[in-house]
Amino acid sequence: MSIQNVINKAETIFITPTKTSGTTISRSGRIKSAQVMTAQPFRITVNFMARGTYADYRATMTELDRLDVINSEGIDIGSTNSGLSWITEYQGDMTANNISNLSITSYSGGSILVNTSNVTNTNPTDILFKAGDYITFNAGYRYPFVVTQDVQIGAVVTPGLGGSNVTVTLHRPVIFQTGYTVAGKGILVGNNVTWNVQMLSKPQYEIIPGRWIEFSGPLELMEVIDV
Amino acid sequence: MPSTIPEVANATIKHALFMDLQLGDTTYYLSDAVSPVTFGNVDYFECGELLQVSSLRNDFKSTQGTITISLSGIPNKRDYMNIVLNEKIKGGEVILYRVFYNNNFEPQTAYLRYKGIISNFNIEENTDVINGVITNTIVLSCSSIVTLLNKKISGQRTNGADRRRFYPGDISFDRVQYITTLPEFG
Repeated sequence: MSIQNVINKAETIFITPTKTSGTTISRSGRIKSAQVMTAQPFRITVNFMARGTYADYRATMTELDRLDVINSEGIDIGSTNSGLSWITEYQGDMTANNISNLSITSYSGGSILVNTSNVTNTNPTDILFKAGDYITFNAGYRYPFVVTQDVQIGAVVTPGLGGSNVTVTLHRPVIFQTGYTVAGKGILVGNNVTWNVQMLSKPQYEIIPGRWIEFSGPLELMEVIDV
Repeated sequence: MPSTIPEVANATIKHALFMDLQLGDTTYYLSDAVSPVTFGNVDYFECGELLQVSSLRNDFKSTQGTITISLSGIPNKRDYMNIVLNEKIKGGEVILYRVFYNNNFEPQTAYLRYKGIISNFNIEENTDVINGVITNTIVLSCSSIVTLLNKKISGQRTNGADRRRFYPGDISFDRVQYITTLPEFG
């Protein structure tokens, strides 16, 4: 929980889904770009609080040393520290109960088909997801996504009458996970979304008079994608 | 024959590199795509091994295209280090395809980019104990078919059997061995 401890006491957090791309600009001013179809892993840069007491952070530093740039850790933004919940909070109109009644029908590329048949007490214009909502799938899926367009719930048709589905577009393709079947799984939103990250470089910490410590730089984290 | 690639006319393209790599008796299917993809009845299942492919040279004339392919030396699904060291990899076929995706990140069309064979390999290992950094990379050097043809040794040996491969019934080389063998005296 050491990376989580650093995040919970962060001064600033940069969250960047990283595309791999190239761009050319012609002499006539035309811009063209090419994107390699990578997993677009999240890069999260965390600036730690400027100074902490050494006694309070010995365990955190020890755990960071153990993780180093080799091991990964699951983190959240806003669940273990509710003070950060505004960063990832769900923006739609669905109740927690209705969210738990959603399930994935299928997916293709960067869009998922969400089964809304079991949602209750909604209006067709209610927002299911707003652009910027963080979502992932339940039952052990490791990768979060960002919804890129507002989606209304639409007319809900119960399963007995044929059921209803809504298409949700994501910021990156659904990533294959060994042993995991996406179809039929539920959806987690907002603060329930987690990332599995690993340090790209480990900052040094400086022990200074007055029993304080300071980190030499930010924590550079990268999302770990299964091979 | 030149290929028409309509996708490159778009202002923004999305693409991935798919690779058929023959090492020993087995062909491995690698890609730099986000997830495993089945394309042309082949599962390009290995997405965590391909580090780099050097730039490809395209000419109107047939030229000797040599490329290098870098693979991770850290075993994941496969232990390529072990495979490269223990299999007969020289001469294994390498085929590269460029696959274009649509805006929903779905693969659409594949185009052949390179076809050649493995001509050499190199393992790059660096250890920096002070800074705690190690690198472990397998570099495969690949030669195009044109390079192979340029290296091809052609001609005819001066014996009767080889002569008759080109000129059936010709016996003029049958006695060459007696001419070249020095007689023993005494």
